[in-house]
This record gives sequence, structure tokens and C-alpha cells, in this order.
Amino acid sequence: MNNKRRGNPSYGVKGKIARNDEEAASTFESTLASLPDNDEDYPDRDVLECLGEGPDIQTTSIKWSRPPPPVLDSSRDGLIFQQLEIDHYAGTAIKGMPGSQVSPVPIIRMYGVTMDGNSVCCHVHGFTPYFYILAPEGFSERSLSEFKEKLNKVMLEDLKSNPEKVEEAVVMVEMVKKQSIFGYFGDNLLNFIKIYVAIPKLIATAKRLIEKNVLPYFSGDATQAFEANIDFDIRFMADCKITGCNWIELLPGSYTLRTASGFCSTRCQIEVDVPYNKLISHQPEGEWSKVAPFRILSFDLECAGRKGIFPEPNHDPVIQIANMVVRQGEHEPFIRNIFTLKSCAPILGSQVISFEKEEDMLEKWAEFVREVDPDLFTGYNINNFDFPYLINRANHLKCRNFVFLGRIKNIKSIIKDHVIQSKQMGRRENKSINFEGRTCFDLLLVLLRDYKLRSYTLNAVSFHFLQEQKEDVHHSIITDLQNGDAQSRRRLAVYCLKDAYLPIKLLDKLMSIINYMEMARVTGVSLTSLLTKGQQIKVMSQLLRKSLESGYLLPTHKVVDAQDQFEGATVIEPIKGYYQDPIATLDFSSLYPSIMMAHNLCYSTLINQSVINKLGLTPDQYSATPANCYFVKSSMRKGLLPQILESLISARKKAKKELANETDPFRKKVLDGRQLALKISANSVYGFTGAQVGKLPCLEISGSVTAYGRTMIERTKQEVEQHYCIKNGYKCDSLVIYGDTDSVMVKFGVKTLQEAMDLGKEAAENISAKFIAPIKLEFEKVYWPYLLINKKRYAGLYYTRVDKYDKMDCKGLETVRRDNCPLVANMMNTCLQKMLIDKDPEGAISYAKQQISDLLCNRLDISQLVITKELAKTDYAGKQAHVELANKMKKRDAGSAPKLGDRVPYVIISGAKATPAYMKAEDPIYVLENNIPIDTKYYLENQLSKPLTRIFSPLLGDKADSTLLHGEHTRTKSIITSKVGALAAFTKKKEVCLGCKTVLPESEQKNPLCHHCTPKYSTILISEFNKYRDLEEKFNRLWTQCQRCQGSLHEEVICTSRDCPIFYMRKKVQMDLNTQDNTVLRFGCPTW
Amino acid sequence: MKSLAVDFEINPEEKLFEESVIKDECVYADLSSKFKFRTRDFSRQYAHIYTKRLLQMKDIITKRAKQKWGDELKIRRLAELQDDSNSRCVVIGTLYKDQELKPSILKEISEEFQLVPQKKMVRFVSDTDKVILEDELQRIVLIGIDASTVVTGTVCAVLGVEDASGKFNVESICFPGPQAPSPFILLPKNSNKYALLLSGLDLATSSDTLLSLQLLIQWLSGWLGSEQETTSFVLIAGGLLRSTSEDLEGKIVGTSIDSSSDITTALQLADELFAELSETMNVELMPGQFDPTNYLLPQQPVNLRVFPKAMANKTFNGGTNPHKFQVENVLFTGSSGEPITDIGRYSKMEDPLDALEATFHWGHLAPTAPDTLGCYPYYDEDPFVLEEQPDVFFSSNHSSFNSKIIEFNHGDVVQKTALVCIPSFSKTKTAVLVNLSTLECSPIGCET
Repeated sequence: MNNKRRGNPSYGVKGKIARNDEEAASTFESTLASLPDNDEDYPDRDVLECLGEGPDIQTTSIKWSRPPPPVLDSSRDGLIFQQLEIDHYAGTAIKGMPGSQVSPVPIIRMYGVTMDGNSVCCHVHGFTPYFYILAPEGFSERSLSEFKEKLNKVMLEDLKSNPEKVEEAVVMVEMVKKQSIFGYFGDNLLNFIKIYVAIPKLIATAKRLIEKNVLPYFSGDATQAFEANIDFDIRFMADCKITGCNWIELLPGSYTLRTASGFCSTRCQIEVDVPYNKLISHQPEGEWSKVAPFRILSFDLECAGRKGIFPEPNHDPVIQIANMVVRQGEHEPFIRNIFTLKSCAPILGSQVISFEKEEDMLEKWAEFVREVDPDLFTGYNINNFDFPYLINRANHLKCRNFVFLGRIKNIKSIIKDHVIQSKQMGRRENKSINFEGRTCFDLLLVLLRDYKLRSYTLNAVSFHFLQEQKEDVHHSIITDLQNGDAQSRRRLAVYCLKDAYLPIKLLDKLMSIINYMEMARVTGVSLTSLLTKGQQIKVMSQLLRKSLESGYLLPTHKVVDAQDQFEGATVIEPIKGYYQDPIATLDFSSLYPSIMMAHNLCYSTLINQSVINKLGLTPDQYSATPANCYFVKSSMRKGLLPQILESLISARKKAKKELANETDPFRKKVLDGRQLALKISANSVYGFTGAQVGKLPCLEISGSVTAYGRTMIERTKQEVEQHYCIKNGYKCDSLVIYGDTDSVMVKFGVKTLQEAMDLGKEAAENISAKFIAPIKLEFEKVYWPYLLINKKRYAGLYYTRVDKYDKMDCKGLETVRRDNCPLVANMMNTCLQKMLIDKDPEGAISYAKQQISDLLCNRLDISQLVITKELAKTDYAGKQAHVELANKMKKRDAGSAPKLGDRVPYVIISGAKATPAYMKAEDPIYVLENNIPIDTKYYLENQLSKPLTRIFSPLLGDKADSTLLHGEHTRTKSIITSKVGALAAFTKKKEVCLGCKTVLPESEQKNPLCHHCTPKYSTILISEFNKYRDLEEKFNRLWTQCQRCQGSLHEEVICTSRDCPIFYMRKKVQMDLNTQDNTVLRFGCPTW
Repeated sequence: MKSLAVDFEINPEEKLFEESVIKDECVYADLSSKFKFRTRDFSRQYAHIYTKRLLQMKDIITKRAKQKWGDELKIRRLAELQDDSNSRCVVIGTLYKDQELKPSILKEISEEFQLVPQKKMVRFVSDTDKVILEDELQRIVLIGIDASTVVTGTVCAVLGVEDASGKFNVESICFPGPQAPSPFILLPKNSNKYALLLSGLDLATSSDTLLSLQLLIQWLSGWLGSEQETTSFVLIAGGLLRSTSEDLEGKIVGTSIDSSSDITTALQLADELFAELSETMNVELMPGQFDPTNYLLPQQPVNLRVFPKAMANKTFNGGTNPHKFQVENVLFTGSSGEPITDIGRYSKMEDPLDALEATFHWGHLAPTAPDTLGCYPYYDEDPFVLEEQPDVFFSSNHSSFNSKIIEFNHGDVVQKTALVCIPSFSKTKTAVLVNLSTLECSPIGCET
């Protein structure tokens, strides 16, 4: 969509190619038409009726609604469903339920779907929030009741405003014998006070008050709270052994049905109450790894913006909303419709619902959502654009019932700002909107999290994964199409439908939902928290479960400022160069997890010198790590983290084995998603211990892990070089040329792949034997040839088999950087290709020189030079090229100028000396139209120079710079005269001879050639025609491509996708053709 | 050698468009004005040519569909299908063939594809090809139709039912055919006149062609001497310098015409040849894909200034590609082979004669243009629509000679047409002789 933010600035598409088993782009409309039919009864548009607690579901279409729920008798029928969402609220205590009988009590809601596709809401009662305090000296069972009273009293006093009307803050206190997970102090258990409070948020209050020493029992800093920082939902799930997205069974008689009694608070079809201890939670294994047919609604909206302004919900109407609903497990949506403002011509294969009033459309859409009752929302950037826009717009238009989009009848969906900080993604500001019971699974957020792409526009992403281009209609055209007739609105509708359809296709292709669900199952957290929270929560959830089993408590870590950084992973200093012999790579598989397992590194095994002395430990009972930390061996106590890792790794092995045996494609997807989730989870454990602002950092562990890693890499280098040498009967002395984190690159000196592979395998086995299990060195691949540029920067042709290379592997090179122009990436790719695949370094050099020469002579396509940046805000501190340009363009034509949130493409044009670069940015189309010269020097020095010298330095050494950037080939430049600007007015055009470019005398202006060149008439004519013919062919291929992409022969192409490499080319070719046409015409009318 | 006097003068300006030369009882007229450019404008898109094509053919196809299936069947627009599905009806539109293997410039220029060079292929047909019908507004997938027998850009009427999955199940298909019979249909045919058709001289690439050509000319002049039968018209239908797109290693070479010195020599040779031929008869030179003129169809006549000697003879004329002209009372229409070869690449009609016959029935000279065959972005008409049924419908530069005579019923009149595939002379050393009265085509071999 053009009139909204679509991810980050960038252009082009980059990455590996998805297998092309998808429909070609050209056929979207026919695809749409041929989707399985919805033989719907079109719902009639009733006048809305309004209920006090938000509208009820109205069944208006059999097709839209879920299948009717079974008639349940709670005494005889059980209920089994897959839960997808969990939340909690403070409610009234129900008689007969466990837990506190004094309201308010926390009640947990689980939302899910049965195998028959009925939606379920399950209210779970009686689970009480709690935390622990280390009991002070002399505290005994007898002190408990007094302690409870006092604590209760101070807490109630502390609750100034008490919206929940809490009467009894502390529900219960008890003494338990447990031990802290942090550190090994023998096997003695300690006394802890377990404090149950009325509602979850009181945990923090209680902890704060206790730590402030308001109670007489505690003194000094000694007070330590345990498990006070755990989310209530996670707590509940861990205690009841519920994992994310698992199956829940309620036995007959264990629950009461609300649906019958009429006290339904939700829009779910089946609503029940159940005590928490009667839930049966099935672990996601065997039969219970199945997936319910939950409903996914993908939608996209269009709004009619005003010229030059980013659409604002207070001004600009929503004009279309396209919807696609698919059941999990199916590939094609079974509901396809579009809500349009004003009439719209029919579209085959999808229902068109038109409205005259925007208010009616929005209300009806909300009704549609409630009726479809989706479990998941998806779309592209719906979280930060579509939903907020719709809600704000509906509020602005005073559509009263619109905001009831969740499953709880009386809760409105409200937009909040939400900041997420994570190492994986950095800081991101997102909107968060509540849809109780429904998950917002925004595809853009998923992609930002899981894939590193050059561009995140829906267009670029679809091309990347599906090989499908989509039209990109400029926002100024959207309003025109809307203001046209039913046909033009239909065109817009097809475009809008495609935007709703693509996320579904992408999710299907990438299996994101399955993968996330499996991740939720493996790590035990809910689907939503995977999307909205960082990595830590996953490890925390697993640690909590494991320590619960083993009787440990997790201390509540106080976040402190970052301490000293521990030493990171080391690299063996690279011996830079271009290696034409095969380089074998030995990798430690899952290095960090295996180190933790091999050396029993955990919170619960950490000791220090004083503990060793105190407990009288002998050196065979503990180990000292290379980071000078001490951990007891597993013979003394098996660490929890190693246990977690072991179960993750054995579960992964199991999943892989099942995967190999599985034949059903859908089950295969699930299993593959699982093994991947397991791998990622195992690797994130190390990160958890090292995250200093995290929930439970332990630098002794993370520091030891990296220290072990370092020594192992060093050791491997030693072993390889000592063993594989001429002295021991091998052909050559081997040399480790580089090593990084978990791999070493070995030059065995042999010349053939086969030899390198054999030696690699042998070395991996030999050296593995010297390390503690499960640490294992594996031989994985051979690079041949190999270009080692620097630390973390290398490229090579990747072989796992002798007969054929797998791919070209590049690390840390400018092939995916987003702030470069495509020329850089293209040149890098081609140079590497020449060096590695063609094994022709000379060719690479001459290619690079040729490109530089082409650049200087203006022979490059302008799309190669376009830099794109997002106009994120207008008040940047420093002057920025794209901001300056946006302002310039606004003066020229406010309508087509980029708006806030748009991506601004620009090229750097030449200007007077010392003009700062930000002043020289210009719109590429303007440059093309006016023949404005490009600042080639800028491109050479600021864009190409560094990456080029970098990749050529292993070949050319210090000469790289002078050879490439200042050689003979940089001497010729051609200068274009601009059609605009001060000088243009004074130049007078005179015809020149097409052969030798001399200016023709006044009398011969009409001739194509001068006297001297006339004998070469035919040759020159042919060469001019050759130029013309190339342009003609290009013109034809480019414009027919656009027709195919837009999926119509009879309609004009209106796409203005600047991501698309064709966009500038097709404009340029039109201009060039008209120019060359004039040249060719100088040879006279063709016939005579 | 008999020398034929030219006993009248023509004003060169008139010759630009249509002209009539009566010379030694040979009537020749260039009827290709719609293929000639006055101005060119490349700021247009291709949508218009498709729209005009559908519009220009709509009446005739409606007529033919009614002839074929009867008057009572409803002709519907796709947009109307939804209101009343499951009823048999006729839909008229342009076919689009969705082909996975179709080369895409987008894929070629996208960075990621640069790593793996795209496979060079000559044919792009696969089992997954889908046929889609597009009317003025919408598209629908057609089933029950053999994708390998149709190509993109063909206008047709289909009879069938929209099935439950939203696809159109085709029962029968109807193509427009030529719109009207030849204007000369009622005029008498001269019984002892012949026209000679040649193509693919490949003067720049093929060295042994020249000898065979000399032989042909000698034979022609000798034969000319006989009083009963005369050949007074020669057509050179493209491939003057080079006619194939493959180099020695079988790679597809781009659009460029080789401009080396060989070309200059070849052009001089051609000049002498044409000068000699046009002394005695009308010589018509059509450009082919690799001849020195523009690339997009219609190709404009080769600039005659590169033939300084021959251009002195008024009997030497440059034609367009495709071309339409009249010799005696026979209407010739055809191309230098590009549309037919292109159809062969994108369908299973590999035999050029089959493809030529198909285009005849489709009523269009080059249906795959502009999709896979370059053509000029026409704005106000589609000049390639076959308006008048030719007597001789030719396509040149093929690997062998082939010909047949078919009949087409216009309702009120039945007209014969000779379909002829003119072989490449450099490859086969064969020319084609057309009897202007019976339309019979026969190959003339000149193997040295």
C-alpha cells in the first residue's frame, strides 16, 4: 500500500530465491476468480442494534459464521480444545471454586478452538498469585498468622486508591522448604515464606513494602524476594504445566457451562467455568501435537488521502477494506470479500459489499469481524497502521460499536504505545491494541523479527519469497480511482484484495504460524508474548518450569547498571588472502549449549572459593573454568540449564527423526517448525545468562562459556596444525587461516576437493575425541576458492559434495546493506561471482574497472544509482538529503511529493564545488526528464570505494585503491548538459555529424553526416539503428513485463513501485527512444 | 537479356504510400500504408493495442459465433457471469497464456538472479501453462482448452459454463478469421504469370549463397525468355544479411546487426544483385528481424540509400514487415516469419505452416505481439488485424518449404488462400514460385 508506512527504506530485492511453485503474479485476478466458491447467502445489511455491553454477534451469513456449537451437557460431555490466548481479570469469587472466597479474585481466561472449529472461552478459577521471601532468622510457623495480619494491614494502607476494592490483600502465607537456584551451597533446604496475594499486581506492592522493612521481621539488605517478577499468566501456565498453544481437556462434571445459563461475557460459542486444579493439560506430543482449524483473518484497507499529506484518521476516509479468511491447515481463503465506499463493479471470486456511508461500512466491518470470530488477525503492518487507523477513524466518526473487536463483550479495543527493546531487533516503538481472545499476528513484525531483508515493503517481500510482484499504486492515484466510477473503484479493489491475500500466501509459504506455535509449545509461553516480547521470556519460562520440578526458587533480580563487559568470543587472527586451494571448515555443532552441558554450567552449580573451603570440596568435585569461575560437577549436582538444554537437544533429535519418517506434508511442516524452534531455544539460553539487564543474568556462566569456546578454538588450531603436517606423513603442512566463534578454516594444502573433504572428516573425528562429550567437532563444508577479507568478512564457494557447489557464501559484505545504491550490491555480487565461481580474479578486476568507467561516462542505468531512505520525521537534527529533497519536491508539486512515512528515492547530482551532499539529492524521475548530470565522483568515493577496496585487498593488497579508483579507466568522463539550470538558456543546439561528431555547417544541418563520413554511410546507419533496436527491444520487454505483473492486457499500467528495478528503466527507455528516433530520422524518410 | 522499358514517370512523393505500377502488363500496388509510420511516440503503453484489437474484432467474432452456435446463445461480459452462474453462454475476449517458463526481464535484472544465469531456452511451453480470457474488464481461467494450441493475444469467443470453482469450462471455441474477402476476388486472374518469393539470403553470414543466387537469376532470365509464362515480380522477404538469431554455439544473439566490414561488402553485393534484377522485373525488399532497420514490428522499409545502384531503378521498392501488396489481381499478405516463429516458441505449433494457418483463422498477423514479440505501441488501431483475406498468405525464413491451399467461407462468398512458408534460401537453396492464377506454389531448387 502506498499511503502508509511499509517497513524500512530500501529498494530492490535481495536474498535467496524461493522455489517457484507459486502462481505467477500476472494471474492474481484469475486466481481470485478460481478460488473455491463461496456460495454464500449475502448478508443483508440490517440496521445495527446496540446493546449495553457492546453488540452481540449477528449471524448474517452461514458462510461467515463458525459451525454451530454442539449441545453440551457438562455432566456427561467432556470438552477438548486447543488454547491460543490466555489472559486474566479480577472478578467475583464463585462458590465452590478453590482459592480465596473474598472478591476480587484473579480469574484466568483461556481462549481456544475445538477440533470442530468452535470457539471456546474457559474461565479458570482459584489460581492465586504468590511469591516467596527468604524467611529471616528465627522466623517460625508460629509467626505466620501475625505476619500475615501485619502485612495485610500495611498493604491495605498502602493502597490509596483501590479500584478493585480489595478487602483482603494477603490471602495466605505458609512456610516452605526450598533452595535458591543461585549458587551451590550443599543440599540443605532453607525456609521460605510463600505469600499468596489477592490479585497479581499486589505482589509488587508486598515485595516493595517488605523490602522497605516496614515489618519488624526483616532488617538490613538481607531481605530477598523470590519469583516476584514473574508474569501471572506465565506463573499459571508453568504451575499447571500448560504450554503455549497446547490442548486442554475438561472432563465431564469438572466444569459448568455458561452458554446455557445466559451469563456469557464473551462472544465465544462455548463458555465455561472450571477450577484450576481440574484442568487436564496435554503435552504437545503424539496425538496432541495436532492443530485446531483456527481462523485467520487477513485484511487490508485503503484510504483516500489528500494530496501530499500522510492520511490522518481525522480527515481522510477509509474507502475500502479487503478481507480474506483462511482456516489453519488450508491454503486458500474460504471467505473473500471487500467492503467498499460507493459502488464497485463485481469481482469474480469475491464478494463486493458497497456502502454509501463510511460509518455504515466501518460498523458493518466490525460486525463482520465479530461474526467471523477470527482467532488470529493478520495483514501487512496492521498492528501499526491498519488497526490504529480504523479505530481512530471509527472513533472520529462516532461509530459506537466499532471498537468492540475482541471477544469480551464489554471491552473496547484501545490503542497504546508500546516499546520493545531487544538485542535481536533493537528498540522498536509499536502500537499495541487489545483484542481479548484474538491474536494480532502482523506479518511485517514477523518478518522484521525473523528475516534480514534488504527491503520490507510488501512488494519486495512477495517478490523475494513468492516471486510475485504486486502493483504499487501511487497514493495520489488512489484518490482519483475512488473518485472515478464503479470500474475504477473495482480496479482499486482488486489491488486491495491482493494486499489482503499476499500475507496469507506468505504465512503459508513461510509457515510462520506453525513455527511460532511450535516455539510457543517448546518454550511454554503464549503466542502473543512471542510476538510482543523479547527472547528472555522464553528462557525464563523454561527455567521456571524446570526449577519448579526440582524445588528451586528463582531470585528476583534487581536490574542494575551494566557491569564490566566480559570478553567475547575470540577469533583467530585471519591470514587475509584469496585462496585458490580448497579450505575445509570444521564447526562445533551447537557449541555454546554443548559447553554448558559438558561442563555442567548453571546457576545452581556455581560456587566460589569460600564455598569450596566451607564445604571442603575436593578438586574432582568441581571444575575451574578458563574464566576463573568454579562450578560443581554433575556428580555433585546436575545443573538445571544443562538439563533444559539436554531436553531441548534430545527433543530436537526426536523431532528430526519423526520428520524423516513423516509423510503427511502438513505434519512435516509442524515437525520442521518444532526442530527449528528447539534449536533457536537452545541457543538463546546462553544469551539469557549474559543479558545484563535481564531477569537473571549470571556473568560467571556466560563468561565461562565464551572462555571455553576460545580455548577450544585455540586448541583445535593446535591439534590440526600439529597433526596434519609433512612430519606425520601428510602431503603438506596444514594451516588454520581463520577461526571464529564456533568454526575454524583449515588449509590442508591439498589441491582437490575430495582430499580436502576426506582430511576434514578425519580431523573432525580425531579432534572431537579429545573434547568432553557432548562437544563435537563436525566437518561441514569446503570453501573453494575462498576470499578472506577480514574478521567476519569473507566469501567463498560453498561445497558439501564433490560434484557441485551448493552456493556462494558471503559474510559481512555489502550485499544486503540497505543504505547503499543497488550498484554497490550488484558490483560486489558480480565481482565475487567472477572471483569465486569463474575463478577469474583478473576478470573481476577488469569488470570493476569497466563499471567504474561506465559510471564516469554516464553509461549506467539510473536505477542502479538510486538511494532510498524513509521520511520518518521532518525535524531531523542534521540536514539530510532525503528530507531536503522532499521539501524541494513539495514546492514543485505537493500532490506527488513524498509524505511522512514514504520512502524517498534519490540520486546525487553534480553541483557547484563544496555543495554539501544533502543539497545535491534529486528525484530520479526529474533527473531523467531533465537530463541532469549525476555526481559520479560521489558514487565512486562515497559508495563504491570502500566496499570495492575491501574485497580486492586480498588480491591487490595496498594497491587496491590506486588500481581501481585512480587507474587509466577513470580518465575518460562524459559530461551531460542539463536541460534546466542557468547555462541551459544560453546554449543553442546545433546538429553534429553522426559519424565524427563535428558540428555541421549551417547549410548541411539537415544531413546526417559530414563530407568525410559520407562514404561510411551504411556502417554508421547500421550502428545508429543498432542503438535504436536495442532500445526498442528493451521498451517492449519492460512494458510487457509490467502488463504481466499487473495482470491485465486492456488496462494501462499505473504501478509506480520504486522498489521495482523496472520503474526507472522503463521511463528512461521511453526518453531514450524518442531521442534516438530523431537521430535515426536524420537519415531521411526510410523509403527514399 | 531482354530489357524492359519503363514508359512512364512517377512522382516520388506519391510512392510513399500507395502506388500502382503498370509495366509490361504487371500490375503492382503497395497496400502497406497502415504499416508505415508518419510519427512515432514511445510515451504510449501497450494497453491500447489490445483494446483496439478486441474492439476491431468484436463485430466479426460476434457474427461468426452466431453462425457457429446459433443466435439464441447469450453473449455475456465476465462481470455479468456472477449474477447468473451455471448457465451456458458465450464470452468474448483476448486470451492470455500464463507461462511459467516465459522469459522475464524482471528476473534477468534482479540482483539475485545474477548469481545464477537464467537458462537460455528456445521454447517456453510447459504442462503448467494456463489459459486466461480477458474481456474489457476482467479475467477468468479457461479449462477444457488445450493450452498448447493457443497463444497470448488471440481474440476469440468461447462457449461454455462457469464452474463452481470460478473457472470457465470451455465447450467450444470460435475464432474470427479474416474480416472480409479480398477486394480483387471477382477480378480475373492472369493465367501465365508467376511471382518469385525468396527469403533468408544471409549475405553476411553465408558464403555459398551467392553462387546459387546467380544460378537462380540466370534461370529466371532464361525462363523469362519463353513467351507463354512470365515472372515479373520478385519478393525478398527478410533475412537479407542474417536471418537466424543463433550464433555458431547455438546461443541467442541479441538484437544487434553486425556492423563489421562484412556487412558493407554484403550490402554492396546485394546492391548489384538488386540492380540487375530490377532491370527486368519488379523487386520488392522486405526487411527481416536482423536487417538494418528498426526492430519493433512493423519494421520499416530498409533505407534504400544503402543500395545506391539499385535505387536508381524505379522497379526496386522497399516494403514493410509485415507487408501487404497486390501483384496482378492477387493480394499478398505476410511477414518475414517472426510472428510465426514466436508462436512456435510459446505453443506446440512447431510446424510453421500450422502456425500460419492458425494466425489465418485467428484473423491476426501477429497475435503474440506485443507480449513476446516486439511491436510498436499503437494507440488508435491495431494494424495487424487481418482485415482482408489475402490470396497468398506467406511467412518467410523457415527451415523448409511448405504450402497448402485452404478455403474460407465468408457467408456470401468462399475464397481460396494459398498458405506458403518460404524457406531460407541460404539453408535450402530453394525459392518459391507462385502461379498467379491457380495460386499454386512450387519450390525451385538451385543447388550448385
